[in-house]
Formats: sequence, C-alpha cells, structure tokens
Amino acid sequence: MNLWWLFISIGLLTMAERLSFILQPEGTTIPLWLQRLLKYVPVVILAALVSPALLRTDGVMDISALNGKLWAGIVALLVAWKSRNILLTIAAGMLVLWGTSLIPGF
Amino acid sequence: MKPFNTIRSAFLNGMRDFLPFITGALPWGFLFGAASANIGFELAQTAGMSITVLAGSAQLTVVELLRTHASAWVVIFSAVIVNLRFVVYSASLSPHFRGLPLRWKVLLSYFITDEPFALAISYFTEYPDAPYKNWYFLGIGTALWFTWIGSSVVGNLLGAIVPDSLSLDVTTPLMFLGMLVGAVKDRKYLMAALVSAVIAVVAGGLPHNLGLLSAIAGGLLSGYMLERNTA
Repeated sequence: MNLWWLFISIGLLTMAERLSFILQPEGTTIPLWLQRLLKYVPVVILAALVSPALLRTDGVMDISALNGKLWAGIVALLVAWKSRNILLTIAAGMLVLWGTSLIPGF
Repeated sequence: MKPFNTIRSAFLNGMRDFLPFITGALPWGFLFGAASANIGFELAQTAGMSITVLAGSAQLTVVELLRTHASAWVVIFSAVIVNLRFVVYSASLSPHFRGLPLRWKVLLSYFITDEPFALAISYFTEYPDAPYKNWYFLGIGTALWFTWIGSSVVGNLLGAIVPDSLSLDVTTPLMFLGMLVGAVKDRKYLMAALVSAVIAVVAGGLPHNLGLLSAIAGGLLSGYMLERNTA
C-alpha cells in the first residue's frame, strides 16, 4: 500500500467534508437522518477498534483469563469510568499488561 | 478588546486564544507520532500524514487499522466516517464565511477540526458582526498547525527509539477505550457500542475487514433505530 496515496485520498475526502456546507448556498441544513447517525459514529468506531485489539490475538478470538490485554482492558475500563482521565487510563492499562507479562503462562 | 477590529489583532488573538488548547493537543500528537513510528512510518510519512489530514482521531484510527493490516479501502472509509463530524462544523461555520473568495473558503476549511471549531464558533456567536473572522480563524488554525505537526514529529522520533517488547501498540486501543467511556453518555450509546464491539470481536477473522465494516454498520444501525424510536 502506498502511504502517500492513502494520505492524499484521506486528505481530499476530509477536505470535501470540511468544505461541504461552506460551499453550499445559504440556508442548507443537515438532514435529520445524518444528524441521528452522526451522534453514534464516535462510539461505534471506537468500540469496533478497541474490542478486537484487546480480545483477539494472532487472528483468533481470545477471551481467556490468560489474555493480558483482557485484564488491561478491564482495569482501564474501570479507571476510565472513575477518573475520566485518558492518560491515567492508558497508564493503568499498560501497567496491568506489563505486570501480567511477567507471570508465567500469559 | 473584542471584537478584534484589525487584521493583525484578529490573527494574533486567534493564535493566542488557541494557547490553552496546546497542552491538550500535544499528547495526541505524541501518541500519533509514536504509534505511526511503531508501525514503521518514517519521519516524512508521519509529518506528511499530519499535514495532509490534520485530524488526530482519524490519523490514530488509520494507524491502528494499518497495524492490523486492513485494506486501503477500509482505512479510507473509516477515516471518512470518523471525520464525518466536520460536515456539522462546516454547516455551523458557513454563515460566518459567506462572501469570502473561494481561496479563503478552501484555506480556512483546511483547519476545521474540533478545537478551532469550538473556539471560533464561540467567538463568532458572541460577536456575529466582527470583522476579519477569516483572519481570526486563520490565527487559530496556524497555532494548531504548528502544534500538531511539531508534536507528531517529536512523537515519531521518540516512538522510533522505544523497544517493541514494551507492547506500546496497546496504548492506542487503551486510549480509544478511555475515549469510548467518555462518549457513552446513555443507554442508547452503550447499546450501539456493545453491538459494534461484539460483532467486531466475533467477526474479526472475516476477510477484507468485513468484521470491522459489519461492526460499524451494525452499531450505527442500532444507534439510528434507538434514536428514531425514542425521538
């Protein structure tokens, strides 16, 4: 995959999104279905990226107790919920991950 | 002092008003830079992506997808979906950029991301008749640009010297998890997130990233249906 073509494609499409209403005549509004959909995009994308990253290993589903990433995720989830602090969340998760990697079997 | 009545004061105050956001923007740039280095981006590529896309969340999503060997189409599609909110920002800002020559509209649109939008719309709403709104927005964008490119570059340099054994590639999913928790504001969001997560994990082995695409489609559909039924 040529990265530069990737960047340029994404850049151009993103510019189209940025310019979308700025180039429209006055008074154009966002259709209701798009407004409803937009609300859920962040949550859906984030969930779709996080879950397989933590719960799949080497191409297969991995929800066993020996999956360090699973524990890292659980702790990170709790820390995120309580602290609402992303840096703390990352730190907590990484500590758990490093901790479990020291235990034989993980 | 406000509204800013000269080109110079509008531009300089635009830059200055962005200052408090710098500390918030830096870690994202560092993380992107490091994550991109982790999957083999050279410095020029990291800087190049930050310059052409100028959108942190999309860039981080792309890097994460590239790490899992997603195909180009899926990567592009996901980036576009992540940046869909810029359409909303475009709609809100358009009345304030009316009458500007095309080159100004294109230039200013390049800087449409979360923080510039939030700052600008607040100023534009409070001072709807302010002159030189374009210069104010350009000031904000300029400050953002240097912050973003600079932190991406530094992140790449730091990331390149960190050993693989530290599993730093897990930091991005953990960061996304933190963001996810913040974004789940009610039961409907939770449902959409769960649908998306379950599909993504279970169907993750399907070829051509069908698992990811199904997860996004399923999650969005759930959210949309829940939204329609309660509105």
